[in-house]
Amino acid sequence: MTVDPSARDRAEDSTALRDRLEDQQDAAVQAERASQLAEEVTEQDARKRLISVFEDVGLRGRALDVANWLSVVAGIWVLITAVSVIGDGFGLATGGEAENLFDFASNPLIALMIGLAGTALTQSSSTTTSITVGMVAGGLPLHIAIPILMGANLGTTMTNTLVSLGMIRDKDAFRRGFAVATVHDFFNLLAVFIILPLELMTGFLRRASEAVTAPMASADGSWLASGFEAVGDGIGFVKDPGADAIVFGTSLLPELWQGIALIVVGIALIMLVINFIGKMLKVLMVGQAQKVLHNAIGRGPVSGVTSGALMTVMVQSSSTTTALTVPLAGSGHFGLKQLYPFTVGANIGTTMTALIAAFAFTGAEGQLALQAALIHLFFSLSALVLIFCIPGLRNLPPMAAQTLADLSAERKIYAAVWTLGVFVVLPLSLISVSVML
Amino acid sequence: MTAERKDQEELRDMEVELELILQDAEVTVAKIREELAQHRQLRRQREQIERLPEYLAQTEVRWRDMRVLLDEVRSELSAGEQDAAEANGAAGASDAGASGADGAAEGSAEGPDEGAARPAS
Repeated sequence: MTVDPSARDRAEDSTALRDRLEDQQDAAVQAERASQLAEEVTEQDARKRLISVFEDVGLRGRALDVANWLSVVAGIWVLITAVSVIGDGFGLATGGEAENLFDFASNPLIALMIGLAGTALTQSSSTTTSITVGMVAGGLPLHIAIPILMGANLGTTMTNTLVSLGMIRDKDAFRRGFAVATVHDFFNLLAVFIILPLELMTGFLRRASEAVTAPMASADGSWLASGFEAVGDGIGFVKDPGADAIVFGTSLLPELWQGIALIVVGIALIMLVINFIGKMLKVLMVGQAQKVLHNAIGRGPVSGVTSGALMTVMVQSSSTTTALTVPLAGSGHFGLKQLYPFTVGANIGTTMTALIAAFAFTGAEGQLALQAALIHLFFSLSALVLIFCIPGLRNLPPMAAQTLADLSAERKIYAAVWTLGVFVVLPLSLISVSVML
Repeated sequence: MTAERKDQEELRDMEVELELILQDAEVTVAKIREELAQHRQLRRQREQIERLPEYLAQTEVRWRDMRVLLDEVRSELSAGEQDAAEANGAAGASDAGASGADGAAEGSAEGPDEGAARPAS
């Protein structure tokens, strides 16, 4: 059978045309779908936009900026006042017997678990470290405070682990998100495994912090001591009225109960104000944080650590910084190796809150508070130097995190055992056993 | 003869030269592809950073995700138990089949029905 060539050409033309039309239809359907998705995303964005509380009450433009910044300054004032109140309350409640009362926490493992559980409960290491700084100024011995501060670094890693659970329905995104979340867990666990025994054996963190703070508190009239005293007096002048008012408000209570009331009020204020400052700083610093990240990408790990530290100082929360790495990893455009230094930097940036809190005190109390805050900073710096700068150790956390994430993506029980086991079961059982014994 | 050999040598040289040019081109293309991939990766990363406000708003812990995880674990475990039960059932059936065949082979002393009933008990 012969086929008319012109008919064949027409048939081919029509097939091509049909294909083209189908393609166009597909493209139209795809465009429509993309548009729908974009609308959905926009709606979600609108719901999840960072909004200041002052925007809700109708402030706009420059007035809004001024109100936002003033609220942060006020927040820092409340933080310093609350830490000072805790110090006073702890002194009153323990009556100089803090060491005996906290005997149950003299086991460093228990103190470590207190720090871990407290931070996991409040979802804020800044809260735990600020409270600890206040307690140290009020008489809590440093040998108990040091493991608590280390435990705070462990507990804060729970936040990004929980954030990564939001991706659990998407296997690949969860694998990536969970890996970057748990790399922080493994890094901080390794840091504690190495540095806590070293500290117990040598006391290097305590000695180093003492060496830095001793000249500041000496009575030799040096410029450093005078400067420290002047700063302390200035801050005292600002925060004393608030702290005195709270102490006066509880003065009708017996000494022990007044102390306990002051501690409770101080802790409540710290929790509220750290949450508030974090929210406000997210709104205020988001542009700066974007600049920092834009400058950091495509560069080396040093840049990653620095940007992680800077970003954490900006938002005053390591939980926020490390939780941010989860959606970045989940998107598939950032790798574990790229985000790992960023989380390590967050450990360093978060020590700023305790340093601010330490300025609530002057004199001998101020020296102890600053010592506790510096111990937190030196711990994070030591972890960076010891683990991150030694290639054999540096690669351990990402390897372990990737293995756990691979297992967890296949079987969620691994994720559940890790999250509940490390952050809930282990600390609670160790604390319970210690209390019972 | 000499001219022919010369031509052949020239052709061979040209082939080698073309081969080298081709290899260079392939290396260059590979490098360009790599650079392009890096540029694209960098562009996508910058796009992600532009979404920072949205991500920062998402960084709150939702405890219901923990419940979702526990639900997933429960469904995985029950699916595992179901699979194990099905596997046992299949193994039981195949054992029964094998026993039945054995029973039949052994003769009339033990009937196939008895053989089939054994694993089930």
